[in-house]
Amino acid sequence: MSERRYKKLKTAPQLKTLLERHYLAAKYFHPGKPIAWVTSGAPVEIVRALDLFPVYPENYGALCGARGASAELCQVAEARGYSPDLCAYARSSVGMMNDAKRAPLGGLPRPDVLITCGNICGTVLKWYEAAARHYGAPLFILDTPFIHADDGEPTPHAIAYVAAQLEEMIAFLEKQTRRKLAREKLFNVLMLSIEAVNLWREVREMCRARPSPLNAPDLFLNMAPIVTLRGTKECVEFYRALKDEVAERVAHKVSALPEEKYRLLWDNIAIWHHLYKFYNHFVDYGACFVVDTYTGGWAMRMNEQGDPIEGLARTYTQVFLNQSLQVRARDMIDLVQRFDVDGFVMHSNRSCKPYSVGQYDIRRIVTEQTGKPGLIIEADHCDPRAYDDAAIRARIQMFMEGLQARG
Amino acid sequence: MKKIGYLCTYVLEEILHAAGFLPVRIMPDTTPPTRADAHLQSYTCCFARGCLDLALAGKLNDLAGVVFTHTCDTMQGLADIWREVFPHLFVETIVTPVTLNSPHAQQYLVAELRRFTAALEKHFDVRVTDEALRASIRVYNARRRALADFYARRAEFSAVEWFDVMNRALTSPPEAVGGQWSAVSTQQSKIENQKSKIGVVLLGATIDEPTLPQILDDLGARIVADDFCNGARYFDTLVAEDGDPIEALAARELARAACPCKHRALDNRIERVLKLVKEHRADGVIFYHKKFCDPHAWDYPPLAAALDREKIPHLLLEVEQVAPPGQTRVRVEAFLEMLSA
Repeated sequence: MSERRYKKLKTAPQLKTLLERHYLAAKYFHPGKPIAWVTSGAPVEIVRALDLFPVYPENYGALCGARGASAELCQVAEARGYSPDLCAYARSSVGMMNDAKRAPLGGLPRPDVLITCGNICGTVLKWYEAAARHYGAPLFILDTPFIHADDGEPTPHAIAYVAAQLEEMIAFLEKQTRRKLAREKLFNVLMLSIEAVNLWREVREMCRARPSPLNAPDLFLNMAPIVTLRGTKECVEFYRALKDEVAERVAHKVSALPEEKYRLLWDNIAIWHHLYKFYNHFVDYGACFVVDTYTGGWAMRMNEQGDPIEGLARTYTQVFLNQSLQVRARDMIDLVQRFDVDGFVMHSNRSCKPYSVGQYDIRRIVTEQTGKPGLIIEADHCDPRAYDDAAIRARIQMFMEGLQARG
Repeated sequence: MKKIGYLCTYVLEEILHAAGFLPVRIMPDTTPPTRADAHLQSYTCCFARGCLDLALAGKLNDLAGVVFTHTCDTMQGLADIWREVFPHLFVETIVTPVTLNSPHAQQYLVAELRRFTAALEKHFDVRVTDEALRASIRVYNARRRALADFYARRAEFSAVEWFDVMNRALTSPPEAVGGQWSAVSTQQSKIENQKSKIGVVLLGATIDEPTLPQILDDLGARIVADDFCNGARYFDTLVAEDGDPIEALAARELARAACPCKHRALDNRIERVLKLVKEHRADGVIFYHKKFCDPHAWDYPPLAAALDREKIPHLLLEVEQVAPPGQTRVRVEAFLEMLSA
């Protein structure tokens, strides 16, 4: 992997320790805690309040990509009949299930229960069905009806449906793990989640500063705790430290890049397998990704008041990937304006249809309404075989020369 | 009668019909979908691209609206693209539940169908009465019974005739179907010695063009059962004709044979496919999959493994818009030879 060419965070060792500890504990030391596999958009607060140990196959997929293990793991899945057109996180995961020797950290621990939430894609349904068959573990599916409404608001019956399922999910987990949910514990976990999510949102917002204190790969790496450790004290502590460091950078006008000439917005999941190499192509032009749509997925506004179950139902149904392209375009326009970017880059991600289908229309809408140009690059978040560096570089060059010409 | 198009059999035709529309299934033609490339990536399925292309080419100008249901990620995105590209049309998605077995799915779906019905009424300034819904339910139940009858007699028909009847049924007024297949049955004389032929079960999302049925006819094989959205899944399960019509429609939606986008029980679809093979004494199974169709691609490995365990031979054909005739023929021929050996 290429080296990063922009300023490293002082909190990086803390992040590394936090994640290493999480994966080691998941694998080897989680006394008395059953393992729950959960999707990145699942209401993990319930899982934590029941004192289960949640692990995140998607985050692990990103790790496989970043460590260069995904191509081989995907091939293991493909040899078992899984189409190479399926999501590469999921293929890596199936590869890991069938051949843990090839998998980083020796693979994820076996799940005792599986919780999949459809608010991010349809793939997680099929992926978790495959995992449930493989491990013979019980599966709970949380169905969060997609929101096509232009105002982004879920229907009252969708909220009632999700809330009823959350109660069902609690009963399911209580039965499967023979424990009882303490509602006050759920409340405490929820408060920790809200605190971390708010800190993460504040960190992201600080990148409105000129120069930006962070570049997109910083956001991608630092999002791991908000996904995998949401609802814990360690998570809150980490984001406090990160926020302090980023605030300090802003106060001293410390730039993430050696020199910030252009400000860009990133759309879609990171290209984990070429993280530095890919973004260095932009560093060459002094282009910093000051904001992205992806890591904002965990900077949602969570309800603090009212019934916690209904609040969770609302929060997790309204996540951005469960919203129409019209709402996503509107949100992107908001980011383009508030972060004062010169252009935007969309990763047309072969592995992620719900995120990518509609990007061509979103690009048109955003450019029409903001005047900012958008570049679409086709790649894959986790399968390096779908990445053509020479072609991508040529497209970046054309786009950046266009930005330069605009002055 | 004004038409409203739909792309998936989870769309409840009865509601559209009761509102005074003729629901017609949109099926892609065989023209390469070049116009759709401006909106859909090359890694989306040919069905999505093909249907949008028809609309962009002006071939769907007689439709007053298009109705989607929540199924796969591509359809979800396509629904939003459609209303972006055709802002004057009635474009709505019925957000059907994914977990058909959820104890809360019925209540949710009833509310969602009432929301959809209200949106339809408002847009077109029409009323959908319970009386009209009940009448439409009877009409569509009659069509489902007629198609089930036709299926029961499918040994008398060629595969191409089967394809023809199904696709014509889904684009014609529901009252017409009985007449249609009796017209077909007069041509059946050319099909001889059907009982001795090799029987296959076809599995997939939709079958949009008759290359494969033609090849099966040419090679003397019979389709004994299928699990297509525009095949047997369409007429599976009737709607109760008494009680609240919306409740009855929702109940049928949850009870009918599930598409791989939906979940009923972990191995529900595997068991159903094995049952189809056994009940119809099929010699083998052909997966007729569209490239980039995720839900069916996900179901393939567990289904293939289950068929292997039962020693039922199977063949996977992955097609884009039109099945390549030469290559498909060679592969199907080799498969049929293996079955008859």
